[in-house]
Amino acid sequence: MDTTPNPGLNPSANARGAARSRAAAGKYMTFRLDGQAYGVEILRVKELIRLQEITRVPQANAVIRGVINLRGKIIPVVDLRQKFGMGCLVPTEQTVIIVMQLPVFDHDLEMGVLVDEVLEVRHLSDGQIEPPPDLGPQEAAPAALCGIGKDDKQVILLLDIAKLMSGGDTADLKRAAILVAPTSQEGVGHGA
Amino acid sequence: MDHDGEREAAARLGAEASGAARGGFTPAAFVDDALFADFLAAETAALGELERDILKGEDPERLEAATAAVKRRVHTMKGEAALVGAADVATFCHALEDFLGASGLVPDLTDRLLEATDWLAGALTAYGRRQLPTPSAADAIARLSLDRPTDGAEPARPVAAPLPSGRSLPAAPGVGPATVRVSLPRVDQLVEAIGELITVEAALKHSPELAGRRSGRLCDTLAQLGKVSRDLQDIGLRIRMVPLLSTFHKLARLVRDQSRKHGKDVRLTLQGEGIELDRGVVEQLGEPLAHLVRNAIDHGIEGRRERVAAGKSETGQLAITAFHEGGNIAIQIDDDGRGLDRRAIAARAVAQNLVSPTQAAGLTDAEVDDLIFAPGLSTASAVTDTSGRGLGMDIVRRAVVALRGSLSVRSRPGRGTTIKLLVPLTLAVMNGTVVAVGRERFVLPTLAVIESLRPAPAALATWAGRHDMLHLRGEVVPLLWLGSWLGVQDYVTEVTRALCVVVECRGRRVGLVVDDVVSQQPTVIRSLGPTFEGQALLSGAVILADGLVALIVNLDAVTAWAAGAFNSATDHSRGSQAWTPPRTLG
Repeated sequence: MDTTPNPGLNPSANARGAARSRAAAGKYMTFRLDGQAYGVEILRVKELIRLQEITRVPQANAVIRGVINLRGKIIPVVDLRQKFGMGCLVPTEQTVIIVMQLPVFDHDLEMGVLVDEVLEVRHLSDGQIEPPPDLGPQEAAPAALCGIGKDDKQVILLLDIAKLMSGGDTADLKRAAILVAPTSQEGVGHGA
Repeated sequence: MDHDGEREAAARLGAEASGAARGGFTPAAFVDDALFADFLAAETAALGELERDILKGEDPERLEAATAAVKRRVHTMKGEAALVGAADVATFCHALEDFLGASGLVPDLTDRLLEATDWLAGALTAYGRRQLPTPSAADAIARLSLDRPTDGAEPARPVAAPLPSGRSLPAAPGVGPATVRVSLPRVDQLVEAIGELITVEAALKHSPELAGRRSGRLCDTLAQLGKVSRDLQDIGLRIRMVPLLSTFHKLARLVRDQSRKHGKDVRLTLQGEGIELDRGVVEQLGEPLAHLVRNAIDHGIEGRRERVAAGKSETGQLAITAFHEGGNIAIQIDDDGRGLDRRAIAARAVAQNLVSPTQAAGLTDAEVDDLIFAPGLSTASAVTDTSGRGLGMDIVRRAVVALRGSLSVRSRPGRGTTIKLLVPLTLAVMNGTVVAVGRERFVLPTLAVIESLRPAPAALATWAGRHDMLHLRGEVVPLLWLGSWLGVQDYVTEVTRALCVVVECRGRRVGLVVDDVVSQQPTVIRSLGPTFEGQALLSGAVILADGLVALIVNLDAVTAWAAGAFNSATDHSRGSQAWTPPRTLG
């Protein structure tokens, strides 16, 4: 694989959540959520599976949609829309579960992430990645946003997904999405 | 002989050897960390066997075989220690070998030999921390007088009772089929992969593409595939099974130490040590069994004088027996001691508000005996002092419940006590009853299900407008709506259209109201993982035949609810027959 080792996405550093990570050049799996394109480092992604029946877990956090059987292993499925405060995902033909391996809660967890649609696997060079934006004098960009990928067509918000799952700064992230990507304005209504 | 003093000295020797540092230790140059870890693990296991063989030597009939085994083990250990550069252990084993050569394995030396194993165990612990053992081998040899074999012991004497010819000896351990040592995660990986294979096989068999073209050969091949994967599943479960042997032999040492401490003669009989259980179960059985054995010797078996006065033999009998019972394993601990003091137990239970005085008077002997497992009673020191068998029973009960097992006791006043543990073969497989609630399905442990029924209106009552209950053959059972308990939407809310599954957990019955009972099937229990840590309503998950996940209802939480909600409403302890519902439905 042509991805270079990436100290910024070092799992243990992220899981402890201290330093803010910076996205580096490499391959990213991109997906769409409420109109906006997001990217996660391809090394985190184990596989893509079709939406299947998810077993609800009583008393679980609303972000967790439930659990599924992944070839005999039981893994939790996270609703990323809920995580971002965009309301509950309504399944469509395009809905996909991205299975990721994430260091969260001090464990190496396999976890399904529900997204509206998977776009592609694409390579981003250093020149195509910008540091997370400064959202204003008082505001730091959300810690889970580790960079912004840009090309002619679109803006891709690069997520440090492990940090996202361990931390709780999702409202900030949504704001960032709105600020840097005017195309995602349609998502505002859901988030209220 | 002052056994107590000796045992304490030994404990000190073992603790010292693993404790204070005499300096760092580095294994021989070619020994990497993995190899050294292997050495430590292998020798720790070998020490257990050595101790066992030393104890075997106390039985004249087995003395000869035991002597040979002990010598062989010490010799092997010496060689292996020297190989990895563990000079202290090698030197010590050398001295021990000479000592055994000169004196043989005579019962009088057992104490010193056990102390020697204590030092060796401590030394291995020290090596594990890359420290040299303290005291050094030379000091330990001097302190145990290993260089003076006949000191304080009779010289070697001929075997008291030669083995009757024609009787075959049990095979020496390690002379069985060849074995390899595999790390546990690797075994778990294998079992996991087998699980995947079975899922894939099911998907293949039911794939619509294949359904159209069924040739005889294809059918044969698929049938063969099915057989192979079932065999694999069987092997996978078996591979994690280990015999009770090592657990039992730890108990043998405990019996010896404990009986000497109390100056009692106890003869231990072990049976069924070859019975195999899941490794996880065996590991968790050690502590509760040790508690039961300690209790039996401390409080059950009387001192010599008391025994003789009661017309019993001086030597107390303690038997630990394991056997298959149904799909479970039973482990039974029998002593021929004084039995339970029922009057003291009942008095204590009343004092602790576990039963009312009137109820206590009506309890049968068996019911009184069962009270020793009641939480709260067990910590009562008064019971421990007067009747014994109080201490630690709560711990035992909790450990056994955690294993999804059960406990029972039978006491014969003046003649002894029998405690029986029933545990599943493996923690991984459970018989599950699948119930439907709304559009969701949940699993109940079938072992806990007493019956399921459609409640008749005349049998129902509501307490204070909130708590539903069911009259079941003279008993009042609280009802819990599983749908509301687990936050399900659109479940059947009319009790006469629903089903009631009566479950029993910790001696308490609760009726769970569900829409329907779907099926019963053996299920493989899986953890919900760290994401759901602290989730109290569920105790795990299973994968049903259709591949979907269903969650297991935690009956402990249900029981706790019943205890809380109905404490004020019912006279809750054992028999709630006396209570009548204030208002009847229908």
